[in-house]
Amino acid sequence: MIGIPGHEVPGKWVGDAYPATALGSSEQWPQSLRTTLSIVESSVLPMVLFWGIDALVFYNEAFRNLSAFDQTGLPPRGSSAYSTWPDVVPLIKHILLSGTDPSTTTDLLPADSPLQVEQWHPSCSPVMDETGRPGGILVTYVQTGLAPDAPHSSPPASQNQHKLILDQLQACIILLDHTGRITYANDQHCCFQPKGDITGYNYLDLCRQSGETAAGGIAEGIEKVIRGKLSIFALDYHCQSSARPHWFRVKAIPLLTEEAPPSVLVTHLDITDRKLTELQTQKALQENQKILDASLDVICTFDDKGRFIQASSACRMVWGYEPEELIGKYFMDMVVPEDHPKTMEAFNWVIDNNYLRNFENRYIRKDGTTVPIVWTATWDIEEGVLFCIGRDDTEKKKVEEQLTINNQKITNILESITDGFFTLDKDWKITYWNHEAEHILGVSRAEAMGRNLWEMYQEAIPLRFYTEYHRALVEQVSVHFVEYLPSIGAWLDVSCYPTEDGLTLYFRNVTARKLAEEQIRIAKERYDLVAKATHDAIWEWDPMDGKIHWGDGYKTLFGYDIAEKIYDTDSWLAHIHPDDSKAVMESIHQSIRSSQATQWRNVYRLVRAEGSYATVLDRGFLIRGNDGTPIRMIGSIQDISLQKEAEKEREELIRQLTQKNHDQEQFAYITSHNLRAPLSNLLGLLSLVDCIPTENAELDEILKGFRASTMALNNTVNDLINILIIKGKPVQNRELISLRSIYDKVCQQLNMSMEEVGACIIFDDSEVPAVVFDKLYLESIFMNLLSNSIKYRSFNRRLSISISTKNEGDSVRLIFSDNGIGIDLARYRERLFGFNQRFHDRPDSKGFGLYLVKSQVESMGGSIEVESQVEVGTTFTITIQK
Amino acid sequence: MIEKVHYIDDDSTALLIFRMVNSKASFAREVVTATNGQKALEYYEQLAQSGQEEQNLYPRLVILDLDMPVMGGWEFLDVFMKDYYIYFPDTQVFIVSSTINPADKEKASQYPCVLKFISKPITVQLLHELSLVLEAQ
Repeated sequence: MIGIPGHEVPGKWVGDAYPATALGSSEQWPQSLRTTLSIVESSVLPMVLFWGIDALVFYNEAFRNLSAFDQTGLPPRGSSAYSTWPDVVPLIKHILLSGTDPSTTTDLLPADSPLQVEQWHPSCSPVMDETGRPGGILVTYVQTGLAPDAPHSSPPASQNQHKLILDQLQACIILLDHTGRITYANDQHCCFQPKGDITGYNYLDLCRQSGETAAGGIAEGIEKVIRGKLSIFALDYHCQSSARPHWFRVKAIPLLTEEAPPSVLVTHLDITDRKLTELQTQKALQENQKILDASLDVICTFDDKGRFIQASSACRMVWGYEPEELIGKYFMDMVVPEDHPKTMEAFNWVIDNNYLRNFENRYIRKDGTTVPIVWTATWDIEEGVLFCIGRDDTEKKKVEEQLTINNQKITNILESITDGFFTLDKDWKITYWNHEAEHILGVSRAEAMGRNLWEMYQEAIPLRFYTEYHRALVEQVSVHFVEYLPSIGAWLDVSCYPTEDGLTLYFRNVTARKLAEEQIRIAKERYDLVAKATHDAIWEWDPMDGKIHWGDGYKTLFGYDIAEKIYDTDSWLAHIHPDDSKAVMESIHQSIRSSQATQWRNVYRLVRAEGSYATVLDRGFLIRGNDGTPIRMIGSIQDISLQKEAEKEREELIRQLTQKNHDQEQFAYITSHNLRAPLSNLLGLLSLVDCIPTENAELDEILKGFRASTMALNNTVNDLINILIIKGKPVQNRELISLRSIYDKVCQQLNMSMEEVGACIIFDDSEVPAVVFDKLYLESIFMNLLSNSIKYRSFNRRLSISISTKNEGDSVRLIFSDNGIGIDLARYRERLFGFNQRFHDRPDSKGFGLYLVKSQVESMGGSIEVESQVEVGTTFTITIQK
Repeated sequence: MIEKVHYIDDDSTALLIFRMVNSKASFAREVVTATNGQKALEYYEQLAQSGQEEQNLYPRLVILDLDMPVMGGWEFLDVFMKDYYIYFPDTQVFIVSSTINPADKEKASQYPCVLKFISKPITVQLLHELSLVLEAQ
């Protein structure tokens, strides 16, 4: 026997008594173990304690002293039961891990177990460790047939010790005799047990009187044990009488002794903590099941053949099947045939111990419709099941579709807005760039996306764009401005809004508006200047009441405030010159009466402040109502007195000039007459001389010279006269003339010279044989051009002249070509057809010929052109209208 | 050949030339001359006063210059047509002038007695042509 360790520190004592174990030295042991050990050591009852997962064995002296044990066969204290008592290890382990009823298990101890001791009944109770879970198992031996109430059987000291130990036990221990009377009860609280000493009471009655629900059943069970009908009775019950919920395990076992009447040991073990844990676990499991069932996803397991083992209730919604209907069904039978190959592949892949995610296939629902499912699956290799979560993808698909549609809508909106639009992130990178932005800025989306705005538009950095965008981003305010972007030569109206990601910019090309504004500004400036500068008097007249309202110009115009004098139709007419008023009145009435007229103008004389008359131009615009009635007339009066005078002066000037011109013309005629008269006489006299034969050779020479000079003078005078006639004569004779006849006549006249120079002339009038022209002019033209060809022929070659015609539709061309000395057009073109121009030093060159030709052609509405090359020839082309 | 021609021109050289050309061309047997319109009218006045026989020998052709002192050709023609034409109804007129004024040619066509507007100088050939014109009448 060992001494009572009450005065000693149990830990120290224990530490000295036990060797180091798998848990380390005794100082490292958990407090719960040390406390329990101190009880075990001090107990008179044989006790064995198994601790921890290694099932370390501890026992007290009482157990050692049990006669049944071979003293030397006992394992050392602190050793593991695994090596010493392997038979009991599974039991211990089972109790520790599962919390299974220890009493029933002790019954299952093998018959040859070292724990089975003759005449001693082992009772197991779990010992809680610091975590509240069973840390060890205490086996207490009670001698069967022991009568605890027999005072003689144990010395008082020993009895006290027993009591102390029993009181210390967490179980309530009661001994009943064969009548149910309590022969012993320890100090632990029991549900049916009133406080205080209950020894001598009938326990069965106490139970039945307690009112506890479970009490009746317990009493009955105990009674059966007493009567030997049950070898053991055990029940977990809920004690309702205590304040907080308590669970107990009651156990009744018969104690059989030879000398004493049979008695029953009743123990009540508080299992509240374990029960609560159990309940919580159960609740948690239920909740989990609820969660599983509440889940919209189908959670199911399949065997390795693809048959349903389990399915959550979501299958009802997703597939229209009850979970029970699915069990044992091959899932592949539900898959849409087209999806079989890929599903098969996915199934084999996941069976190969892979984790499958977001696998999509389609299933046929019970009602025949199909449903897309997205699967997550994993193969549980230990259990040999396929664990799957399937999600009905219909909604997601719809949402995705909706999202796509929405995105498209937004894109469409962004693309269709007529503003340019782009977005920037906080690093100034372009994240969106719409079509209009492409258009305005001339940069494609592909070029713009992802680029830094300021790298793209360095030119914008010194401009408002940079400062305003930074302001928007930094101060998180929207900004709006108009700025010129030089690279595209346009004014942009920009609105910039800060967003979560950066900036959003809307912009428009407002160049046209800007220019229009500028033009309006200029126009207004001009108008203001004009209004200041104008001397017109603006008026507004109401035909209904005849009232006249004046603008500011009147004072300037007429020298006094006319508004006081002229305020209506009558006073206005009274101020008009008497000779004009009637005509003015008639004209304005005519305008008003006519339903179409919108304008009126008249020139009349209006009296000035000092009494003189001003000639005015009065113009009015008539505004009519829908029915044509004149509503108002607005107009201006302009003082044109000065203009009138200027007009008069001009008319006078024209008259004088006309007179002067006429006088000069007459002068020319008279002069030419006076010139011609003696010239005619000379010609007449010469013609008479011709008839008189002379013998004197010298006189002959003189007469020849006399004749030549006279002829030259006559030609000159005739040319001058012709010019005078063409210039002075407004209308020519137009007649159809045969070109051949003109050509013949001119050739006859030039016959002498032609023969002299041996000219070769080609005349071709096959295309246009006749033209409408003035006959004399045409003769003159032929004469001049042909005689020019002769006059300006080249001495190096035979003269060749070509006259041809060309029909050009509504016009005719006469082409005169020669191979003469030509004209240096570079020098003379401008002066070629000028008056009194001579380009060659040839005899008879007067300088009138081409001037005359041009005058004649143009007076008939034709034109003449020249092409020439020096020493090659000259071509004149005359174009005349048919 | 015509009997008598009345040549009215202030240019004495022209008168001289006319006489010479006339004789060479054998145009008229007798040439009466006047140096302006006034003098020509006096001739006709005198002729009108004379006896019937002499009056009947009035010149059937007048060659008239336009530009003359005292009285020009047109003025003469107007007065003659008004006062004397009835007495000398067979009178025919050639207007001969150095003028280039188109208005003159235009005006000439307004007088029924004016046969032709001719330009100086008067040559033998011209008078031959005039004879043909007169014969055609």
